[in-house]
Amino acid sequence: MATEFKLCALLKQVFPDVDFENLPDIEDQAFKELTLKEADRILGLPDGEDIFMAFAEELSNSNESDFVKQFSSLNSKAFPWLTCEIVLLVGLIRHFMPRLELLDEGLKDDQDSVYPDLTVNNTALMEWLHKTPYRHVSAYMVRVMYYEMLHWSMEYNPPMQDYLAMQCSDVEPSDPELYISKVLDVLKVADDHFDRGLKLGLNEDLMALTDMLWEFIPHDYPDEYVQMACEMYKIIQQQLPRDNKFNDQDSYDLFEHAVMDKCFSLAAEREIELSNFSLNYIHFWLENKYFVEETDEDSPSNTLQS
Amino acid sequence: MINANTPLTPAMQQQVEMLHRDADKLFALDWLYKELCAWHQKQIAKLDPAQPEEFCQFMNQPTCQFATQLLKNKRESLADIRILVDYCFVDEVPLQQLYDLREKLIDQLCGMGFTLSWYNVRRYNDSWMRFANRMPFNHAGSEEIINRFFKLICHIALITDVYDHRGGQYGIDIDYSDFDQVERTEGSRELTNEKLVDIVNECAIYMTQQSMWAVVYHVLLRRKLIVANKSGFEKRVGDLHFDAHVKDCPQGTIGKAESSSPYLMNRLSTWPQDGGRNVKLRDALLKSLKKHLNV
Repeated sequence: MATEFKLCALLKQVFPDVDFENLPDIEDQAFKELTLKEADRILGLPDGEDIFMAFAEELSNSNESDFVKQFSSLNSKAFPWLTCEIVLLVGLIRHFMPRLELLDEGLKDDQDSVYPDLTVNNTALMEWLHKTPYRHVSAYMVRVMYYEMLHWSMEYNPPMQDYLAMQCSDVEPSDPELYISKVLDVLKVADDHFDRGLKLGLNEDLMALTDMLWEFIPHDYPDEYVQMACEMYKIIQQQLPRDNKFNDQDSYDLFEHAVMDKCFSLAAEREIELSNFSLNYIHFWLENKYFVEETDEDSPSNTLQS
Repeated sequence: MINANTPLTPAMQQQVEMLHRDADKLFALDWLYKELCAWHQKQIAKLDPAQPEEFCQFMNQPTCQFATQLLKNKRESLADIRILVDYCFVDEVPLQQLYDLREKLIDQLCGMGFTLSWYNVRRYNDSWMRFANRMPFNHAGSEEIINRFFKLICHIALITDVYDHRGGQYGIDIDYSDFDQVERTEGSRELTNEKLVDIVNECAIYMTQQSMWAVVYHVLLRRKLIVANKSGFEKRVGDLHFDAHVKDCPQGTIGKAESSSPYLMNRLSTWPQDGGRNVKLRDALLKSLKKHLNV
């Protein structure tokens, strides 16, 4: 009884305006609108994220039978509504958006793709972001897109990561209009830069190498830099072991030494002046990509024993 | 603003740190202004007056645009600095204000992308040409960012000149003795453990119990930046850190407070302005630090 009371009080606290006795049917448009409206209200609060995450945590910690009893005593429609609300809000706050149809039916993806298209090339999504009256939801959705691209670049392209991080460091989703316009512009520039590289026939690694030699994005992929990146990539491929990863420090150090040595001679041939900054970029990128530190848990002797 | 939470790569973090650390050298631009003037005059002399196309071509080169724009903006921000220096409140040190402003502007500069290569401009006498050739001149939509860049770099250069006791050439008259006094006091480090306890007690109403020592520790640590005798002060702060654990400060509190309040890592002036408590705490700390350092 105590838990039931607590949940009820929490619900009233987090959703003060929702009439749980008269919730619309799950098929209705009103159901979706109510979800978006409440999400927008919570995201617009100064500490909305914290309030909601605390609430979601409380729900997940509560006993399942209490949970069901609670909603059956309210209304049979409360449970599906709250599920939608939680999926939408937690997704927006925690930087992933698994189902675009929660925003709008028209945004539904192809059934074939596992992940939705969260780039600026998704025209339907871009249109929705600009036009929707739920500005806070829109801003947080843009933040999801931003983190999607940031996480991609963290893996593949360090200069792009720095570009995204630097350009978007002074805006917050609490100012939705500014945030949406600024971040979408930045994403567009990064995406265009990537597309230009694809048109030149470069793969992700070659693009990253060119960007690191040039030190920043965007640029016009100057010929000598692209050529040098290609040459360097060839050398890297030649030096790699069969599984493309180094496990021990010594052989990795030898590999990096060989690559960097060649890098200097290639730069001298093309009169490219290499800065410390470029070399640092390449050093961290190589280490991140080709070096795996062997831990005790992974070693075969340990696995055998267990 | 760039802060501890900005997801930068390690290479970029190093570069930003280097720009901040070596700002005094990197942004003392007198040599560059002279170099650019000489270069420009030499190039103009080479041109044939009978061929105006050649002149147009020269004007559109990135190097020429760089030289002319930089020289044009040289004294643009002088008025801003004058206002900042002349209208400083009685209890503020103008040079400290200038220093804090420069830190902020350098962060803005770093955010532009191509500007990170500025570190290499001092390498050789003609290194600026490489920098100029890689700037996005003549790109669509880049005009605004380029104008902003020249304004920023000249603003920082002016601040650096004034900060490094070269304000006289701009007619800016600052009483450096006041600043020297701050340096001297912090250099000789009159701050004993008892005084530190007093400072903590004075500011206690604005702090949570746990963060008290961490706040004071970080404030002192960051203030080392304006001290002449850096290594000595660092050692002293190290001792202080150690002392704090033994005396009056429960084990592990500094570490805990550091991880929960990222703004502690920043200079006082860059603490978040939105929360009223931070601002009050900052003011109280400044006041009591000044009192105990006899500034």
